[in-house]
Amino acid sequence: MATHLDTALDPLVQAAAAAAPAKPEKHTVMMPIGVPGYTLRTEAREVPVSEPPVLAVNSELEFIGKPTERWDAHYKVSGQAKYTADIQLPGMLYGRFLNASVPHAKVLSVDVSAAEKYPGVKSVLVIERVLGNAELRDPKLETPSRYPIVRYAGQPIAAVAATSAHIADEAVKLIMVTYEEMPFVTDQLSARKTDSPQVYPGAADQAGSAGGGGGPHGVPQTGNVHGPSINKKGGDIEQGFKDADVIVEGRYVTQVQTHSALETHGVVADWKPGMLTVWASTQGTGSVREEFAQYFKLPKTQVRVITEYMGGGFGAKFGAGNPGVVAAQLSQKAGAPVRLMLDRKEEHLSVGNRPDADQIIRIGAKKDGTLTAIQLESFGTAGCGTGAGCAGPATNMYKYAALHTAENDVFTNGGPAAAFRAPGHPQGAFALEQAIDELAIKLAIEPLDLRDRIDENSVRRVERQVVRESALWKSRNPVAGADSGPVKRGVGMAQSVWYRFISMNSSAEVLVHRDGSLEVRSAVQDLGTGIKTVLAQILAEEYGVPPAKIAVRIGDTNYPVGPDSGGSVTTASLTPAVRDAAWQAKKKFLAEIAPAYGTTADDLQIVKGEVRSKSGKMQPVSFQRAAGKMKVDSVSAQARRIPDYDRSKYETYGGVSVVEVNVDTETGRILIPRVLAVHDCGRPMNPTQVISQINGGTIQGISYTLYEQRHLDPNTGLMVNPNLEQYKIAGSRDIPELQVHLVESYIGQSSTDASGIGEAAGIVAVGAAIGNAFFNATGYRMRRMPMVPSEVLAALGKVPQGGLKA
Amino acid sequence: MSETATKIIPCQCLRTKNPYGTTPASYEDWHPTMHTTSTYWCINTMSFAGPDDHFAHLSRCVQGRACYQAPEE
Amino acid sequence: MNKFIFSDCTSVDAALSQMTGEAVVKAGGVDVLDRMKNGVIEPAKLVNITNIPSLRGIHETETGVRLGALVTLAELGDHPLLQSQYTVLADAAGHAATPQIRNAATLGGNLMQKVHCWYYRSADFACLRKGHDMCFAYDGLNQYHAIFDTNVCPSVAPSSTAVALSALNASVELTSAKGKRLVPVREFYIKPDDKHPTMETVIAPDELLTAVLIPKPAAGTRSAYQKYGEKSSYDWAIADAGVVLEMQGDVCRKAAIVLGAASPTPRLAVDAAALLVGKPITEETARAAGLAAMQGATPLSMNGYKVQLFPVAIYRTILLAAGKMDRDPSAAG
Repeated sequence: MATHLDTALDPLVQAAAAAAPAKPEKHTVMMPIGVPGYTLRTEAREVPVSEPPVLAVNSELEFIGKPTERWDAHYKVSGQAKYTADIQLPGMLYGRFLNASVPHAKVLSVDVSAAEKYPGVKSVLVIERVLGNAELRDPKLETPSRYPIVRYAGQPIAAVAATSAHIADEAVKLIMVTYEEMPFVTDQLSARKTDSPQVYPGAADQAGSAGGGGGPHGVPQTGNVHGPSINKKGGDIEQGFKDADVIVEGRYVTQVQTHSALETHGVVADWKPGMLTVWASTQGTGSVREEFAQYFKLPKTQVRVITEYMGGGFGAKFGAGNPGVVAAQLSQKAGAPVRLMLDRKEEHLSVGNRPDADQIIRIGAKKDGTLTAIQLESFGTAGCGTGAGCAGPATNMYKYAALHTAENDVFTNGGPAAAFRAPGHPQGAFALEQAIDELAIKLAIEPLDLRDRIDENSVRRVERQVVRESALWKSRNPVAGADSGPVKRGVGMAQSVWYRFISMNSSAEVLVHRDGSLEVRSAVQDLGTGIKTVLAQILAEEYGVPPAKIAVRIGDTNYPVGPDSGGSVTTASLTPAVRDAAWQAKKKFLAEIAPAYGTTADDLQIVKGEVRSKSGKMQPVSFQRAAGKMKVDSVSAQARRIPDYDRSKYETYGGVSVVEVNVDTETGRILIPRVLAVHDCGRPMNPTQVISQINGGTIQGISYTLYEQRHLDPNTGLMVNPNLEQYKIAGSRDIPELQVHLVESYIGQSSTDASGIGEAAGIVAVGAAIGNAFFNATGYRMRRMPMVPSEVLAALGKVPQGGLKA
Repeated sequence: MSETATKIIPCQCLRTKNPYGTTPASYEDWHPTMHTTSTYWCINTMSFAGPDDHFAHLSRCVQGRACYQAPEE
Repeated sequence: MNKFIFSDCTSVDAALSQMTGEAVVKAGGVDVLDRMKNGVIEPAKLVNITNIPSLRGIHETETGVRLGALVTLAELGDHPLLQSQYTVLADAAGHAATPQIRNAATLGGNLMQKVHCWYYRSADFACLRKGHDMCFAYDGLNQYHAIFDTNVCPSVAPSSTAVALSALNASVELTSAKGKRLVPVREFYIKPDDKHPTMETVIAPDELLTAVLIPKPAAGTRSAYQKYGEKSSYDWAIADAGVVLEMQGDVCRKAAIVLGAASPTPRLAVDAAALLVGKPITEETARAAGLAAMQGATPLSMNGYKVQLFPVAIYRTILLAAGKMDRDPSAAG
């Protein structure tokens, strides 16, 4: 059973545990558990003896858990930080794609002769099918051709590398493509119809089934609908609804959102004999190296990936990608490094998006609020890809007697989706959390109280208590639509949920140098969340040196492997390895200098930046002076992530978002003056950066809920707003006063006991919280995104009121 | 999904983005957590479609597909 | 972006002499560069006029005010005289786009900018307004398009300063080698017609927009402009209104109401304005004017909501102009 929350089955954790050399010796330690001020206590954990001492709660620490300035802030604001687009290499060429101008077609020919002759062009590449040994045996399959079928407008077809960006732009226009156009469909509702154009040939013609009956998961397919993927939990769903005293049901529709990170996808590829070096804007240096090595059949020793700085990814930047391998091929052909950065239009079209969703959710409950049944049917389009499921929140947020979810992917001629900050969850929570709000109203139970009855998570309970005591929640009028004027105020709340995932692919090296300088190395990349700062804080805590003085070297596969930054894993996965390495390096260091002070390592400790003897054999000396006693230039230790201490514990991250809205019922505008976000992320390693992430997630959630939408023209299949002007993202005036309340939560799982925040932060809950606040303000429910004036007026216009009837 | 009893041996060219980042086929126990939200691609084409022009997905990139490549031992 | 000749001019005469063939005049560059980057235009030559000193400055004259074509939107928005006596213009300029754009964008450029229909602005669509034979908005995505004069090209008037200047009955000064002429803003813009769908203004190829002249307002004049978008920051209007009222005590003696995002050119709502004349400005009269302005509207498939939205924009802006309501928090900028 593959539930949405099944860390016990995590293959990486298991594989790593199995591969561990010998069963490490363990001892019992007492660890802080729970929320300070509410539920803090200690619990016993079986821990390998090689682990460092238990880390105290934040209030007792000097650097970890303290608001700390971003380690590289001054590099970023002063322009010294070098992003991929800033890399300049001698003789470097500029790459540019030619992309499909139609949404669905066979490519009959690609003529690059004029482009090849254009002065300054050094290499031209046409993307061709790579069938290898495979034979297309089924005659019903689409006619084989040299070129891949075009399935969305913007699909890359060819590329050039030239001596300037301008020449590349001009040359790419000279490539002549002839298409045999095919019927297309761009919207999900039309694609579901039986007479819709087919994005892929019918199920009977599927290559996968040609050799004997689909895959083990056996997801059915009818027309463009790939699904349903069905998940059942608990008892019988029909019985659940029979047992219900109250049933709520609603249809919720959300739109396609594009990632729109500030930095677009791109690489600089430098192919030299014996070494392919790639500067990549990526969330996973390891994943990029793995794919380059695999694609080009190179040993990993001959691929180096560097990501010193990157400007956001939100889930869409993993692996080598089309831009990566194309740049490398152009570089190989031209014998020169090639920089290939996508432009904003390409970024919108071809490298990912959050699928839309059309969900019908039905919830049954007893009079006391007990949930008897949750049923969800969802359809979503990930364009010509898959991954539009959204049942996570319905499955994992609350306890229920019976659950039945049916998720469907609908193929359309749009760019493929990519993972996007809490995949499926903002969509799913938009439906679930508004339905729960509706249920609370029907049951006449306060929304926070109802959740206290159906949510077993102890941290969320604390968070609801914080909300209950907040001025914002106290200012809420429980009577919906109570204001008399055209502008109506409302307050609403919703919860988010995300899960504890750990990447065992996490390791680091810590070095102590004779001049007293300290260094940490890991291949991990900083997605923008600030992992560099956190690594510096960990060393600072062990050695009593300020974080700004620690050298943090990351984003290079020459260093020990680091986790990919997806699933909110980075801090939870890597920091224990770093602390372990720091602690082990410290032990080596103390052993190295102990003879000089006539003592042993066991007698020495580092306290507040000083080396001290427990037995008083020496006067305290500064760490730096003591380092001068080293007989080698540096000592170092490398450590890898060990599995969580107690994996029987079932952990989720999340929070409660409270939104205040002013709904202008005449103009249909929703203004948001204030948001209160009460969140947990285990031990906050650096509250400044945790708050930044919650701010960012909340803003991104507001932007998604109120403004953002990819518009595909139904008649041509082209995106009409592939920019950041008509693709609308929240600007400074659209951002409310944000108040973040962090709830520290200790779970006793690792040497840092850190958790993750990126995906739980805001974006999951904000849409539903706005919807619930809208209902509180107006008495109407807003079941569609984005909540632009036309949609708001339509929702309000269903009932004659104030001359707004459409 | 509730029925995953059959052992999955997906094509070695299939990749997915799941909460760990990406999963290469070399991991023995190919368990794509939250697979209804996982996106898939083929490393042969670096795209959502395989070399045979059909979509890449755990339920499709299995033995019997024309372009299937068994993981190396 | 194509290669082009950059002709930097320091005098009007020099600029006029450079305006030959496929030359395009560039002031702040906001609109021209946007279209070049999108591949919508590929001019062989840009005539840069930003370094012409005589086109700068806000000058109070005996008959009103003279604004150089190179006055920036930020200067218009911040100017005390304009804020107090030509409020509608200061409002329109001061709430356009973003602070960064307002610092670069000029009045002349703002008046001369092309429509912002997303089909027009993309090189992917060979549309009627660009000289081809088809409008994609009619059967396509037209939620931001016009609800009046929709018969040829339903894109909407993009310039908020044009709305304000139309309400103030200002004129533009057009200069050519042959001399100067004044054209009322109300006659400057051309509704797209089947014969000349690409023509947006009456300016001739050899003419340069050099100044804007606004007549001195009569005593008791009050004015305001508000626009409504989907966002509060950096968004195009989905509804807007420029209102100029000439008040005598409590009674309105004269009124002008102009709408921007309703039709391809700034739309003078004559009937709506007439409803205010001779009456005190109250919420009731203001709302009646707002509704009257929608008579004859022909919304498209996706923009019926604008017929609901414009009367609100109009009544609230009338009340703002009359001093009976604060600036609307729902308005953008």
